[in-house]
Amino acid sequence: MSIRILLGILATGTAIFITSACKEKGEVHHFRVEKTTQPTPAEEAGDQASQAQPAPQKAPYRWTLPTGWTEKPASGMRLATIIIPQEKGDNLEASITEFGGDLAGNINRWRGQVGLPTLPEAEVLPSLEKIDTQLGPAYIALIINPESTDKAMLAAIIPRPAGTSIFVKVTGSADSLKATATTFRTFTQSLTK
Amino acid sequence: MTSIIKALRPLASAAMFYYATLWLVALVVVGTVAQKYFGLQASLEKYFSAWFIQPLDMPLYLPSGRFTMAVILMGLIAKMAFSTKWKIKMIGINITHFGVLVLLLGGVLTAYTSTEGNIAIKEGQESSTFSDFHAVEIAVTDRSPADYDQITTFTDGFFSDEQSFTDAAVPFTFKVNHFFKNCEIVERPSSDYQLPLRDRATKLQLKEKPSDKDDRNLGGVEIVVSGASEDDNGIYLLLNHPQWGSSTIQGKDGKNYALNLRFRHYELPFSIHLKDFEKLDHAGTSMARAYSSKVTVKEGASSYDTKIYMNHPLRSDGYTLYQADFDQRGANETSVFQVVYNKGRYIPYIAVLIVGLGLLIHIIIQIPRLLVATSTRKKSAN
Repeated sequence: MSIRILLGILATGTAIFITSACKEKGEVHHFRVEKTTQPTPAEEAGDQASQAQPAPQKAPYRWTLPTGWTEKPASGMRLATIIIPQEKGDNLEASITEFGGDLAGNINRWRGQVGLPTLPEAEVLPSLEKIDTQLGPAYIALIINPESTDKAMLAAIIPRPAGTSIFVKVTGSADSLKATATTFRTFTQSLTK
Repeated sequence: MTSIIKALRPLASAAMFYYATLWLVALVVVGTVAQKYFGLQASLEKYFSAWFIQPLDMPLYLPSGRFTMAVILMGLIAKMAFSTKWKIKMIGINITHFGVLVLLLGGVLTAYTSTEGNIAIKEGQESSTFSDFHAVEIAVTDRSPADYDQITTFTDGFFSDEQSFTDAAVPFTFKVNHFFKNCEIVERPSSDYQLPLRDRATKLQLKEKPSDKDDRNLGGVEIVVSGASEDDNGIYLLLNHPQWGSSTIQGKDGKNYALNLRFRHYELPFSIHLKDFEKLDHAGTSMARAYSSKVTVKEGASSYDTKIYMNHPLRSDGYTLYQADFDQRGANETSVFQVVYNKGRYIPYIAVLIVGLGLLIHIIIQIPRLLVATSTRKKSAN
Protein backbone atom coordinates (compact mmCIF):
# COMPACT_ATOMS: atom_id res chain seq x y z
CA MET A 1 0.00 0.00 0.00
CA SER A 2 1.54 3.30 -1.04
CA ILE A 3 2.04 6.17 1.37
CA ARG A 4 -0.35 8.30 -0.73
CA ILE A 5 -3.19 5.79 -0.20
CA LEU A 6 -2.41 5.70 3.55
CA LEU A 7 -2.57 9.50 3.72
CA GLY A 8 -5.77 9.45 1.67
CA ILE A 9 -7.32 7.08 4.24
CA LEU A 10 -6.11 9.37 7.05
CA ALA A 11 -7.66 12.42 5.32
CA THR A 12 -10.96 10.63 4.79
CA GLY A 13 -11.02 9.39 8.39
CA THR A 14 -10.29 12.88 9.70
CA ALA A 15 -13.03 14.39 7.53
CA ILE A 16 -15.56 11.80 8.76
CA PHE A 17 -14.52 12.37 12.38
CA ILE A 18 -14.77 16.15 12.08
CA THR A 19 -18.12 15.99 10.27
CA SER A 20 -19.65 13.51 12.67
CA ALA A 21 -18.57 15.65 15.60
CA CYS A 22 -20.01 18.83 14.04
CA LYS A 23 -23.02 18.84 16.33
CA GLU A 24 -22.75 17.67 19.90
CA LYS A 25 -25.23 14.88 20.42
CA GLY A 26 -27.31 14.55 23.54
CA GLU A 27 -26.21 11.87 25.98
CA VAL A 28 -28.13 10.07 28.71
CA HIS A 29 -26.31 8.98 31.85
CA HIS A 30 -27.40 7.13 34.94
CA PHE A 31 -26.01 7.78 38.41
CA ARG A 32 -26.73 5.98 41.63
CA VAL A 33 -25.99 8.28 44.58
CA GLU A 34 -26.16 8.02 48.32
CA LYS A 35 -29.65 8.59 49.63
CA THR A 36 -30.44 11.92 51.19
CA THR A 37 -32.91 12.09 54.04
CA GLN A 38 -33.76 15.77 54.44
CA PRO A 39 -33.03 17.34 51.07
CA THR A 40 -31.91 20.93 50.94
CA PRO A 41 -32.48 22.71 47.62
CA ALA A 42 -28.96 21.77 46.55
CA GLU A 43 -29.46 18.19 47.62
CA GLU A 44 -32.84 18.14 45.89
CA ALA A 45 -30.93 18.94 42.77
CA GLY A 46 -29.22 15.60 43.24
CA ASP A 47 -26.07 17.62 43.16
CA GLN A 48 -23.41 15.77 45.05
CA ALA A 49 -20.78 18.38 44.36
CA SER A 50 -23.11 21.18 45.39
CA GLN A 51 -23.74 19.42 48.68
CA ALA A 52 -20.14 19.94 49.50
CA GLN A 53 -20.16 23.53 48.31
CA PRO A 54 -20.75 26.43 50.65
CA ALA A 55 -24.35 27.02 51.67
CA PRO A 56 -26.20 29.48 49.41
CA GLN A 57 -25.71 33.05 50.49
CA LYS A 58 -28.45 34.80 52.34
CA ALA A 59 -30.45 37.61 50.73
CA PRO A 60 -28.06 40.31 49.55
CA TYR A 61 -30.20 42.99 51.24
CA ARG A 62 -31.12 43.78 54.82
CA TRP A 63 -34.21 45.47 56.21
CA THR A 64 -35.75 46.51 59.51
CA LEU A 65 -39.08 44.94 60.39
CA PRO A 66 -41.75 47.27 61.81
CA THR A 67 -43.18 46.27 65.19
CA GLY A 68 -45.30 43.13 64.95
CA TRP A 69 -44.13 42.17 61.48
CA THR A 70 -42.38 38.79 61.25
CA GLU A 71 -40.20 37.19 58.63
CA LYS A 72 -40.04 33.77 57.03
CA PRO A 73 -36.74 32.63 55.51
CA ALA A 74 -35.93 32.71 51.80
CA SER A 75 -37.65 30.07 49.71
CA GLY A 76 -37.63 29.47 45.99
CA MET A 77 -36.88 32.76 44.34
CA ARG A 78 -38.21 34.82 47.27
CA LEU A 79 -35.56 36.63 49.23
CA ALA A 80 -37.99 36.61 52.13
CA THR A 81 -41.66 36.45 53.04
CA ILE A 82 -42.90 39.06 55.51
CA ILE A 83 -46.01 38.44 57.60
CA ILE A 84 -48.00 41.60 58.36
CA PRO A 85 -50.49 41.04 61.20
CA GLN A 86 -54.01 42.38 60.82
CA GLU A 87 -56.47 43.21 63.58
CA LYS A 88 -59.31 41.85 61.50
CA GLY A 89 -59.14 38.94 59.10
CA ASP A 90 -56.17 37.02 57.79
CA ASN A 91 -52.61 38.32 58.04
CA LEU A 92 -51.13 39.91 54.94
CA GLU A 93 -48.08 38.40 53.29
CA ALA A 94 -45.43 40.49 51.55
CA SER A 95 -42.92 38.90 49.21
CA ILE A 96 -39.46 40.33 48.54
CA THR A 97 -37.99 39.26 45.22
CA GLU A 98 -35.46 40.51 42.72
CA PHE A 99 -36.21 40.09 39.01
CA GLY A 100 -35.65 41.77 35.69
CA GLY A 101 -38.39 43.45 33.67
CA ASP A 102 -39.32 47.06 32.99
CA LEU A 103 -41.31 49.29 35.34
CA ALA A 104 -44.27 49.99 33.04
CA GLY A 105 -44.57 46.32 32.06
CA ASN A 106 -44.76 45.21 35.70
CA ILE A 107 -47.24 47.90 36.76
CA ASN A 108 -49.55 47.11 33.84
CA ARG A 109 -49.31 43.37 34.54
CA TRP A 110 -50.39 44.00 38.13
CA ARG A 111 -53.17 46.31 37.00
CA GLY A 112 -54.38 43.49 34.74
CA GLN A 113 -54.37 41.10 37.71
CA VAL A 114 -56.83 43.31 39.64
CA GLY A 115 -58.96 43.95 36.55
CA LEU A 116 -57.75 47.46 35.67
CA PRO A 117 -56.99 48.55 32.10
CA THR A 118 -53.42 49.04 30.91
CA LEU A 119 -51.98 52.54 31.29
CA PRO A 120 -50.04 54.19 28.44
CA GLU A 121 -46.33 53.97 29.27
CA ALA A 122 -46.05 57.76 29.70
CA GLU A 123 -48.75 57.70 32.40
CA VAL A 124 -47.25 54.90 34.47
CA LEU A 125 -44.54 56.87 36.26
CA PRO A 126 -46.83 59.80 37.27
CA SER A 127 -49.24 57.24 38.77
CA LEU A 128 -46.58 56.08 41.25
CA GLU A 129 -45.34 57.60 44.48
CA LYS A 130 -41.60 58.14 44.43
CA ILE A 131 -39.71 57.79 47.71
CA ASP A 132 -36.03 57.73 48.61
CA THR A 133 -34.53 54.60 50.12
CA GLN A 134 -31.02 53.60 51.14
CA LEU A 135 -30.80 51.72 47.81
CA GLY A 136 -31.87 54.73 45.74
CA PRO A 137 -35.28 55.89 44.54
CA ALA A 138 -38.23 53.53 44.89
CA TYR A 139 -41.70 53.64 43.36
CA ILE A 140 -44.76 52.74 45.42
CA ALA A 141 -47.91 51.56 43.68
CA LEU A 142 -51.25 51.11 45.42
CA ILE A 143 -53.37 49.41 42.78
CA ILE A 144 -57.06 49.28 43.62
CA ASN A 145 -59.94 48.44 41.34
CA PRO A 146 -62.91 50.49 42.66
CA GLU A 147 -65.27 47.85 41.33
CA SER A 148 -63.52 45.00 43.14
CA THR A 149 -61.89 46.27 46.34
CA ASP A 150 -61.38 42.87 47.91
CA LYS A 151 -58.34 42.17 45.71
CA ALA A 152 -55.87 45.04 45.62
CA MET A 153 -52.11 45.28 45.49
CA LEU A 154 -49.48 47.37 47.27
CA ALA A 155 -46.04 47.17 45.76
CA ALA A 156 -42.67 48.86 45.88
CA ILE A 157 -40.16 48.69 43.05
CA ILE A 158 -36.54 49.60 43.68
CA PRO A 159 -34.51 49.61 40.43
CA ARG A 160 -30.97 48.27 40.84
CA PRO A 161 -27.87 49.25 38.85
CA ALA A 162 -27.48 45.76 37.31
CA GLY A 163 -30.81 46.15 35.50
CA THR A 164 -32.90 44.10 37.93
CA SER A 165 -35.39 45.52 40.45
CA ILE A 166 -36.30 44.60 44.01
CA PHE A 167 -40.04 43.99 44.33
CA VAL A 168 -41.86 44.17 47.65
CA LYS A 169 -45.44 43.13 46.99
CA VAL A 170 -48.52 42.62 49.16
CA THR A 171 -51.99 41.62 48.02
CA GLY A 172 -55.14 42.00 50.07
CA SER A 173 -58.28 44.05 50.40
CA ALA A 174 -58.10 47.74 49.54
CA ASP A 175 -58.90 48.74 53.13
CA SER A 176 -56.20 46.57 54.70
CA LEU A 177 -53.59 47.80 52.22
CA LYS A 178 -54.52 51.45 52.78
CA ALA A 179 -54.13 50.88 56.52
CA THR A 180 -50.73 49.25 55.98
CA ALA A 181 -49.40 51.72 53.39
CA THR A 182 -47.55 54.06 55.79
CA THR A 183 -45.74 51.25 57.60
CA PHE A 184 -45.05 49.58 54.26
CA ARG A 185 -43.39 52.79 53.04
CA THR A 186 -41.20 52.91 56.16
CA PHE A 187 -40.28 49.27 55.69
CA THR A 188 -39.33 49.88 52.03
CA GLN A 189 -37.12 52.79 53.09
CA SER A 190 -35.27 50.48 55.50
CA LEU A 191 -33.99 48.19 52.75
CA THR A 192 -30.24 48.39 52.44
CA LYS A 193 -27.31 46.27 51.31
CA MET B 1 -10.10 7.23 -7.32
CA THR B 2 -8.42 9.55 -9.83
CA SER B 3 -11.38 11.93 -9.78
CA ILE B 4 -11.32 12.02 -5.96
CA ILE B 5 -7.61 12.84 -6.04
CA LYS B 6 -8.26 15.58 -8.59
CA ALA B 7 -11.03 17.00 -6.41
CA LEU B 8 -8.88 16.96 -3.25
CA ARG B 9 -5.68 18.25 -4.87
CA PRO B 10 -6.65 21.98 -4.60
CA LEU B 11 -6.68 21.54 -0.82
CA ALA B 12 -2.90 21.18 -1.01
CA SER B 13 -2.62 24.74 -2.33
CA ALA B 14 -0.14 26.90 -0.42
CA ALA B 15 -2.42 29.92 -1.04
CA MET B 16 -5.25 28.26 0.86
CA PHE B 17 -2.94 27.58 3.81
CA TYR B 18 -1.64 31.17 3.67
CA TYR B 19 -5.09 32.80 3.70
CA ALA B 20 -6.46 30.36 6.31
CA THR B 21 -3.53 31.19 8.61
CA LEU B 22 -4.02 34.91 8.04
CA TRP B 23 -7.72 34.56 8.89
CA LEU B 24 -6.79 32.59 12.02
CA VAL B 25 -4.52 35.45 13.15
CA ALA B 26 -7.44 37.87 12.66
CA LEU B 27 -9.70 35.58 14.72
CA VAL B 28 -7.13 35.41 17.51
CA VAL B 29 -6.92 39.23 17.67
CA VAL B 30 -10.71 39.77 17.56
CA GLY B 31 -11.38 36.90 19.95
CA THR B 32 -8.81 38.19 22.45
CA VAL B 33 -10.30 41.70 22.43
CA ALA B 34 -13.84 40.27 22.65
CA GLN B 35 -12.95 38.45 25.89
CA LYS B 36 -12.94 41.79 27.69
CA TYR B 37 -16.49 42.60 26.63
CA PHE B 38 -18.25 39.24 26.34
CA GLY B 39 -16.33 37.03 28.77
CA LEU B 40 -13.75 34.31 28.22
CA GLN B 41 -16.11 31.40 27.62
CA ALA B 42 -18.44 33.24 25.21
CA SER B 43 -15.46 34.46 23.17
CA LEU B 44 -13.85 31.02 23.12
CA GLU B 45 -17.08 29.47 21.89
CA LYS B 46 -17.78 32.14 19.28
CA TYR B 47 -14.35 32.76 17.77
CA PHE B 48 -12.49 29.50 18.34
CA SER B 49 -14.79 26.53 19.06
CA ALA B 50 -17.61 27.32 16.62
CA TRP B 51 -17.55 26.39 12.95
CA PHE B 52 -18.98 29.71 11.76
CA ILE B 53 -19.56 33.19 13.17
CA GLN B 54 -22.40 35.51 12.33
CA PRO B 55 -21.02 39.06 12.78
CA LEU B 56 -23.52 41.42 14.41
CA ASP B 57 -26.32 38.89 13.73
CA MET B 58 -26.20 39.78 10.03
CA PRO B 59 -27.31 37.11 7.53
CA LEU B 60 -23.65 36.40 6.83
CA TYR B 61 -21.63 33.45 8.04
CA LEU B 62 -17.84 33.65 8.24
CA PRO B 63 -15.49 30.79 9.09
CA SER B 64 -14.73 30.57 12.81
CA GLY B 65 -11.70 28.96 14.45
CA ARG B 66 -12.81 25.34 14.11
CA PHE B 67 -13.56 25.62 10.40
CA THR B 68 -10.29 27.47 9.76
CA MET B 69 -8.27 24.86 11.65
CA ALA B 70 -10.08 22.10 9.72
CA VAL B 71 -9.10 23.79 6.43
CA ILE B 72 -5.47 23.99 7.57
CA LEU B 73 -5.53 20.35 8.71
CA MET B 74 -7.09 19.07 5.50
CA GLY B 75 -4.68 21.21 3.49
CA LEU B 76 -1.68 19.73 5.27
CA ILE B 77 -2.95 16.17 4.78
CA ALA B 78 -3.67 16.91 1.10
CA LYS B 79 -0.19 18.40 0.69
CA MET B 80 1.43 15.32 2.20
CA ALA B 81 -0.71 13.08 0.01
CA PHE B 82 -0.43 14.89 -3.31
CA SER B 83 2.47 17.36 -3.34
CA THR B 84 5.14 15.97 -1.04
CA LYS B 85 8.31 14.60 -2.60
CA TRP B 86 9.18 11.40 -0.76
CA LYS B 87 12.92 11.60 -1.24
CA ILE B 88 15.75 11.14 1.26
CA LYS B 89 16.89 14.76 0.97
CA MET B 90 13.33 15.89 1.89
CA ILE B 91 12.97 13.56 4.87
CA GLY B 92 13.60 16.32 7.44
CA ILE B 93 10.92 18.58 5.96
CA ASN B 94 8.49 15.68 5.68
CA ILE B 95 9.05 14.68 9.31
CA THR B 96 8.50 18.32 10.33
CA HIS B 97 5.21 18.42 8.37
CA PHE B 98 4.21 15.15 9.99
CA GLY B 99 4.93 16.66 13.43
CA VAL B 100 2.64 19.60 12.65
CA LEU B 101 0.00 17.11 11.45
CA VAL B 102 0.26 15.24 14.77
CA LEU B 103 -0.11 18.57 16.61
CA LEU B 104 -3.27 19.44 14.67
CA LEU B 105 -4.76 15.97 15.14
CA GLY B 106 -4.00 16.32 18.85
CA GLY B 107 -5.99 19.55 18.76
CA VAL B 108 -8.94 17.68 17.24
CA LEU B 109 -8.70 15.02 19.95
CA THR B 110 -8.53 17.65 22.70
CA ALA B 111 -11.43 19.65 21.22
CA TYR B 112 -13.75 16.64 21.29
CA THR B 113 -12.64 14.69 24.33
CA SER B 114 -11.33 17.08 26.98
CA THR B 115 -13.39 17.94 30.04
CA GLU B 116 -12.84 20.56 32.71
CA GLY B 117 -14.75 21.16 35.87
CA ASN B 118 -14.48 21.36 39.60
CA ILE B 119 -15.15 19.35 42.69
CA ALA B 120 -15.81 20.85 46.12
CA ILE B 121 -15.38 18.64 49.17
CA LYS B 122 -15.87 19.43 52.83
CA GLU B 123 -13.43 18.12 55.40
CA GLY B 124 -14.44 14.59 56.35
CA GLN B 125 -16.50 14.11 53.19
CA GLU B 126 -15.89 12.15 50.03
CA SER B 127 -16.86 12.63 46.41
CA SER B 128 -16.37 10.83 43.11
CA THR B 129 -18.14 13.24 40.76
CA PHE B 130 -17.16 16.62 39.39
CA SER B 131 -19.21 19.33 37.70
CA ASP B 132 -18.48 20.99 34.38
CA PHE B 133 -17.74 24.74 34.48
CA HIS B 134 -20.21 25.58 31.73
CA ALA B 135 -22.16 22.62 30.29
CA VAL B 136 -25.51 21.88 31.92
CA GLU B 137 -27.82 18.90 32.06
CA ILE B 138 -31.34 18.05 33.18
CA ALA B 139 -31.29 15.66 36.14
CA VAL B 140 -34.29 13.48 36.95
CA THR B 141 -34.04 12.01 40.45
CA ASP B 142 -36.03 8.96 41.51
CA ARG B 143 -35.96 8.78 45.31
CA SER B 144 -38.13 5.68 45.56
CA PRO B 145 -35.32 3.08 46.01
CA ALA B 146 -34.78 2.40 49.70
CA ASP B 147 -30.98 2.59 49.75
CA TYR B 148 -30.03 5.08 47.06
CA ASP B 149 -31.30 7.78 44.71
CA GLN B 150 -31.35 6.96 41.02
CA ILE B 151 -30.48 9.95 38.82
CA THR B 152 -30.94 10.04 35.04
CA THR B 153 -29.32 12.97 33.25
CA PHE B 154 -29.86 14.47 29.80
CA THR B 155 -26.96 16.56 28.50
CA ASP B 156 -27.31 19.89 26.70
CA GLY B 157 -26.86 18.20 23.31
CA PHE B 158 -30.64 17.65 23.56
CA PHE B 159 -31.39 21.33 24.20
CA SER B 160 -32.41 22.44 20.72
CA ASP B 161 -35.77 24.16 20.39
CA GLU B 162 -38.63 21.72 19.79
CA GLN B 163 -36.40 18.66 20.39
CA SER B 164 -38.08 15.78 22.25
CA PHE B 165 -36.23 13.20 24.30
CA THR B 166 -36.77 10.59 26.99
CA ASP B 167 -35.18 7.45 28.45
CA ALA B 168 -36.40 4.05 29.63
CA ALA B 169 -35.69 5.09 33.25
CA VAL B 170 -37.95 8.16 32.98
CA PRO B 171 -41.69 7.55 32.45
CA PHE B 172 -42.39 10.81 30.64
CA THR B 173 -41.08 12.80 27.68
CA PHE B 174 -39.45 16.22 27.47
CA LYS B 175 -39.69 18.75 24.69
CA VAL B 176 -37.50 21.85 24.86
CA ASN B 177 -39.33 25.13 24.24
CA HIS B 178 -36.17 27.17 24.62
CA PHE B 179 -32.76 26.85 26.22
CA PHE B 180 -31.11 29.97 27.63
CA LYS B 181 -27.34 30.02 28.13
CA ASN B 182 -27.81 33.10 30.30
CA CYS B 183 -31.14 34.47 31.41
CA GLU B 184 -33.07 36.44 33.99
CA ILE B 185 -36.42 35.71 35.57
CA VAL B 186 -39.29 38.00 34.74
CA GLU B 187 -43.00 37.82 35.46
CA ARG B 188 -45.07 36.00 32.86
CA PRO B 189 -47.63 38.06 30.95
CA SER B 190 -51.25 37.19 31.70
CA SER B 191 -51.76 36.45 28.00
CA ASP B 192 -49.82 33.19 28.65
CA TYR B 193 -52.21 32.04 31.36
CA GLN B 194 -54.20 29.85 28.95
CA LEU B 195 -51.07 27.70 28.44
CA PRO B 196 -50.62 24.53 30.56
CA LEU B 197 -48.19 26.26 32.94
CA ARG B 198 -46.93 24.29 35.94
CA ASP B 199 -45.01 25.08 39.11
CA ARG B 200 -43.08 28.36 38.91
CA ALA B 201 -43.82 28.72 35.19
CA THR B 202 -47.34 29.80 36.18
CA LYS B 203 -46.08 33.22 37.27
CA LEU B 204 -42.59 33.48 35.85
CA GLN B 205 -40.78 33.15 32.57
CA LEU B 206 -37.16 33.34 31.47
CA LYS B 207 -35.72 36.12 29.36
CA GLU B 208 -32.52 35.78 27.31
CA LYS B 209 -29.52 37.82 28.46
CA PRO B 210 -26.17 38.32 26.74
CA SER B 211 -23.32 36.28 28.15
CA ASP B 212 -21.93 37.66 31.39
CA LYS B 213 -18.48 39.15 30.90
CA ASP B 214 -17.31 37.45 34.09
CA ASP B 215 -18.75 34.12 32.87
CA ARG B 216 -21.33 34.10 35.67
CA ASN B 217 -24.12 32.89 33.44
CA LEU B 218 -27.45 31.69 34.75
CA GLY B 219 -28.59 28.85 32.48
CA GLY B 220 -32.27 28.06 32.16
CA VAL B 221 -34.64 25.99 30.10
CA GLU B 222 -38.38 26.13 29.44
CA ILE B 223 -39.48 22.58 28.92
CA VAL B 224 -42.73 20.75 28.16
CA VAL B 225 -43.40 17.49 30.01
CA SER B 226 -45.82 14.99 28.49
CA GLY B 227 -46.75 11.42 29.34
CA ALA B 228 -46.67 12.06 33.12
CA SER B 229 -49.77 12.04 35.35
CA GLU B 230 -52.50 14.28 33.94
CA ASP B 231 -52.01 17.13 36.44
CA ASP B 232 -48.26 17.21 35.94
CA ASN B 233 -48.11 17.43 32.15
CA GLY B 234 -47.29 20.96 31.04
CA ILE B 235 -44.66 23.67 30.84
CA TYR B 236 -41.92 23.92 33.50
CA LEU B 237 -39.06 26.29 34.12
CA LEU B 238 -35.71 24.87 35.18
CA LEU B 239 -32.93 27.14 36.33
CA ASN B 240 -29.31 26.28 37.11
CA HIS B 241 -29.36 27.94 40.53
CA PRO B 242 -29.08 26.12 43.88
CA GLN B 243 -31.94 28.12 45.41
CA TRP B 244 -34.31 27.37 42.54
CA GLY B 245 -34.75 23.81 43.82
CA SER B 246 -36.54 21.17 41.82
CA SER B 247 -39.95 20.54 40.27
CA THR B 248 -41.64 17.31 41.28
CA ILE B 249 -43.46 15.31 38.63
CA GLN B 250 -45.51 12.19 39.20
CA GLY B 251 -45.01 9.58 36.50
CA LYS B 252 -47.71 7.21 35.37
CA ASP B 253 -45.89 4.55 37.41
CA GLY B 254 -47.01 6.44 40.52
CA LYS B 255 -43.48 7.48 41.53
CA ASN B 256 -42.39 11.07 42.12
CA TYR B 257 -39.44 12.38 40.13
CA ALA B 258 -37.48 15.54 41.03
CA LEU B 259 -36.51 17.56 38.00
CA ASN B 260 -33.80 20.17 37.82
CA LEU B 261 -31.11 21.82 35.75
CA ARG B 262 -27.54 21.64 37.02
CA PHE B 263 -23.96 21.78 35.80
CA ARG B 264 -23.11 18.58 33.96
CA HIS B 265 -21.71 15.90 36.27
CA TYR B 266 -18.98 13.41 35.44
CA GLU B 267 -18.03 10.29 37.35
CA LEU B 268 -14.39 9.91 38.36
CA PRO B 269 -12.96 6.37 38.29
CA PHE B 270 -11.87 6.98 41.90
CA SER B 271 -13.16 8.88 44.91
CA ILE B 272 -11.50 11.62 46.94
CA HIS B 273 -11.84 11.85 50.71
CA LEU B 274 -10.75 15.22 52.15
CA LYS B 275 -8.95 14.56 55.42
CA ASP B 276 -7.73 18.07 56.13
CA PHE B 277 -7.49 21.46 54.47
CA GLU B 278 -4.70 23.78 55.56
CA LYS B 279 -4.24 27.47 54.78
CA LEU B 280 -1.17 29.48 55.70
CA ASP B 281 -1.48 33.27 55.72
CA HIS B 282 1.06 36.01 55.16
CA ALA B 283 2.15 37.27 58.59
CA GLY B 284 -0.35 39.67 60.12
CA THR B 285 -2.86 39.34 57.28
CA SER B 286 -5.62 36.99 56.19
CA MET B 287 -4.11 36.74 52.70
CA ALA B 288 -3.34 33.16 51.73
CA ARG B 289 0.37 32.40 51.38
CA ALA B 290 -0.23 28.76 50.61
CA TYR B 291 -3.04 26.29 50.90
CA SER B 292 -3.11 22.53 50.59
CA SER B 293 -5.40 19.54 50.98
CA LYS B 294 -4.58 16.18 52.53
CA VAL B 295 -6.70 13.61 50.74
CA THR B 296 -7.20 9.88 50.50
CA VAL B 297 -7.66 8.55 46.98
CA LYS B 298 -9.80 5.41 46.91
CA GLU B 299 -10.02 3.21 43.86
CA GLY B 300 -11.66 -0.17 44.27
CA ALA B 301 -10.12 -1.97 47.23
CA SER B 302 -6.93 0.12 47.20
CA SER B 303 -6.37 3.57 48.64
CA TYR B 304 -3.48 5.94 49.30
CA ASP B 305 -2.90 9.29 51.01
CA THR B 306 -1.50 12.29 49.18
CA LYS B 307 -1.33 16.07 49.45
CA ILE B 308 -2.59 18.42 46.74
CA TYR B 309 -1.15 21.92 46.66
CA MET B 310 0.07 24.60 44.28
CA ASN B 311 2.11 23.10 41.41
CA HIS B 312 1.58 19.65 42.91
CA PRO B 313 -1.67 18.32 41.43
CA LEU B 314 -3.00 14.81 41.82
CA ARG B 315 -2.70 12.79 38.60
CA SER B 316 -4.67 9.59 38.36
CA ASP B 317 -6.33 7.61 35.52
CA GLY B 318 -5.81 10.46 33.05
CA TYR B 319 -7.40 13.01 35.39
CA THR B 320 -5.49 15.90 36.93
CA LEU B 321 -6.81 17.59 40.09
CA TYR B 322 -5.40 21.02 40.94
CA GLN B 323 -5.88 22.85 44.23
CA ALA B 324 -8.05 25.72 43.01
CA ASP B 325 -10.00 27.36 45.83
CA PHE B 326 -11.27 26.99 49.37
CA ASP B 327 -14.07 28.12 51.65
CA GLN B 328 -13.54 28.52 55.37
CA ARG B 329 -17.11 29.48 56.24
CA GLY B 330 -18.91 27.02 58.46
CA ALA B 331 -17.63 24.46 60.92
CA ASN B 332 -15.85 22.36 58.29
CA GLU B 333 -13.57 23.89 55.69
CA THR B 334 -14.23 23.18 52.03
CA SER B 335 -11.52 22.57 49.47
CA VAL B 336 -12.19 23.09 45.76
CA PHE B 337 -10.22 21.24 43.09
CA GLN B 338 -10.13 21.94 39.39
CA VAL B 339 -10.42 18.69 37.44
CA VAL B 340 -8.98 18.36 33.92
CA TYR B 341 -9.32 15.33 31.67
CA ASN B 342 -7.67 15.48 28.26
CA LYS B 343 -6.92 12.40 26.16
CA GLY B 344 -4.62 14.43 23.94
CA ARG B 345 -2.55 15.97 26.73
CA TYR B 346 0.73 14.31 25.70
CA ILE B 347 0.31 14.90 21.96
CA PRO B 348 1.73 18.48 21.89
CA TYR B 349 4.95 17.21 23.53
CA ILE B 350 5.22 14.34 21.06
CA ALA B 351 4.47 16.69 18.13
CA VAL B 352 7.11 19.20 19.22
CA LEU B 353 9.68 16.39 19.51
CA ILE B 354 8.82 15.19 15.98
CA VAL B 355 9.03 18.75 14.59
CA GLY B 356 12.37 19.26 16.38
CA LEU B 357 13.70 15.97 15.04
CA GLY B 358 12.56 16.87 11.51
CA LEU B 359 14.28 20.25 11.63
CA LEU B 360 17.45 18.70 13.03
CA ILE B 361 17.55 16.05 10.29
CA HIS B 362 16.90 18.71 7.65
CA ILE B 363 19.79 20.84 8.94
CA ILE B 364 22.12 17.82 9.07
CA ILE B 365 21.17 16.84 5.50
CA GLN B 366 21.69 20.39 4.32
CA ILE B 367 25.11 20.87 5.96
CA PRO B 368 27.13 19.07 3.18
CA ARG B 369 25.24 21.05 0.52
CA LEU B 370 25.88 24.29 2.39
CA LEU B 371 29.56 23.44 2.74
CA VAL B 372 29.83 22.63 -0.97
CA ALA B 373 27.96 25.81 -1.90
CA THR B 374 30.25 27.90 0.35
CA SER B 375 33.35 26.30 -1.09
CA THR B 376 32.07 26.84 -4.66
CA ARG B 377 31.39 30.51 -3.90
CA LYS B 378 34.89 30.92 -2.47
CA LYS B 379 36.43 29.26 -5.55
CA SER B 380 34.36 31.49 -7.85
CA ALA B 381 35.45 34.55 -5.88
CA ASN B 382 39.10 33.55 -6.26
